[in-house]
Amino acid sequence: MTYATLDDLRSQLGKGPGPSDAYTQKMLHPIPDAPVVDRVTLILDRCQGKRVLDFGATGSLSLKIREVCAAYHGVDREAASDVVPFDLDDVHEPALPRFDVDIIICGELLEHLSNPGWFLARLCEQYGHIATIITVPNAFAKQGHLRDGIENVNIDHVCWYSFRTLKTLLARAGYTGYWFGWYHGQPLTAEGLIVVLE
Amino acid sequence: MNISHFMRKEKSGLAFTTLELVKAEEQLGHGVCLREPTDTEGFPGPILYGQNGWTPDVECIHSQMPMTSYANRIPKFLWMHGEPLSSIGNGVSMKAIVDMAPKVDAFIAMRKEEFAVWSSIKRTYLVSKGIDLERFHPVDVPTHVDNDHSSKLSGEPAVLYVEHWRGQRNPLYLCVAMQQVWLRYPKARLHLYNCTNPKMFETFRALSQHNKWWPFLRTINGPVKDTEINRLYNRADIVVSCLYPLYARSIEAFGAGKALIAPGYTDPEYPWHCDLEPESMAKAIMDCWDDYGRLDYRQWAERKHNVLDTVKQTIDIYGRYL
Repeated sequence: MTYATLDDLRSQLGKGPGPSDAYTQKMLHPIPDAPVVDRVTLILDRCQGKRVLDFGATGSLSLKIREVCAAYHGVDREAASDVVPFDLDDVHEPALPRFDVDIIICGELLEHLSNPGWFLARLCEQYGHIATIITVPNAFAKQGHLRDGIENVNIDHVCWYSFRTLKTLLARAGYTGYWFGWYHGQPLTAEGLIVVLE
Repeated sequence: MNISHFMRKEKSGLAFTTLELVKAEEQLGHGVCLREPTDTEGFPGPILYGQNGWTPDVECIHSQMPMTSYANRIPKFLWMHGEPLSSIGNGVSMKAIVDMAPKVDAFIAMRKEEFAVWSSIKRTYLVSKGIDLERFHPVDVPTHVDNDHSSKLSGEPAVLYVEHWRGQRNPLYLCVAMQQVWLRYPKARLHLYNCTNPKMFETFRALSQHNKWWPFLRTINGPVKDTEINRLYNRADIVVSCLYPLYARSIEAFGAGKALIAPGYTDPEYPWHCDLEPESMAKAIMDCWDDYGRLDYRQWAERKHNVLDTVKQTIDIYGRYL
């Protein structure tokens, strides 16, 4: 491959022929520097006093959001108090439930969906103007997800996301600007990724 | 002038020197192209850096060239990076040099000590051995703090060996020399870096324990990152080479403003000389420390080892063949 700078070449001396330009462009993607944040603190700070729409409205995070927000609207498979039942994977349902809110939370949701791109495309179309926080487990988490022939994965998950795959999925859905960080651990190998779209 | 360089993408002093030459040529306004000498068929290999699509005015060979260069009539120069004796010792290099000699216009050597050898094979031009004085430069280093790897190395003087350990090239004589230095300067310390061979490491650890070198031998470390080497030089007082009869990239120490003790470094204007034997090396280290301020080592680098000067000299040589 042709290196852009002599320093780039110098750093690769002795490392074999290296990949082709075509391979590099298609397959190798630098990950930008990003901070490690406390996922719950960041979400609760952003939800404080706000009208919140929470997709995947179950679990301890949803309970905490209810405590700090001004108004809570949830969407999940099962109905509950302030939670609308809705199948986010249903490709025959053209619109997501509509609420007038200030912020949207999709915490550990995408990896459960059979059609995440379909969901995100509708989310961007309907709520693209509203701040949205998405968190997913990191495919390259340090603890590893495979050991001794056993996969360590939630039985309801259908995929693992990395920075790059999530970025591509969001871009296909129509999102452009984003801020991202890591949660629980160190950059690159943290337990999860957190993305703020606004 | 458009200059093409053929160089294998190996991690070696040859490659570091070539990259510095290319950078300096660009800085001086010349067009450059750096590429692997051959692909699997013997044709020019992939371009590593620089321009494509033009015919070079000259070709510079750094150990190998493509078959197409044998007959293209472009002036070409074989850079003599290696030592003559090692070139024979490795069983490959000298034969390759002799094979290529009829196909190149001249050799370019960077050390006058080897000029006679290369001249016996082909017309040889001598240029100064330069280094990138932007890459190797003085930086502020805080005084020594235990376990702080950004602070100065321990010792007064802090003596550093950071060459490529390889077979007979090793710091044995330096360690023995440091026994004498330590007797006169009890605060003197020795730091050995870039030991990449486990057997070599075990050998020197055994020597250190058996010979009770621990009062002064404080470090036997592995490879140093390329990005850290300038700082490491700056953390030392005196850098010592154990190469002989020549010298290599240890002159980078001058760029960092540090003294170099090298048996193969024979510039008559330089104050500290020694032979490759412990008594002589110990004396040179102590003489240097006694009168450390006698020379501004950074200025020495700027005067004697600026790669920009090297390139200016080579451009003059290339011009004679256009």
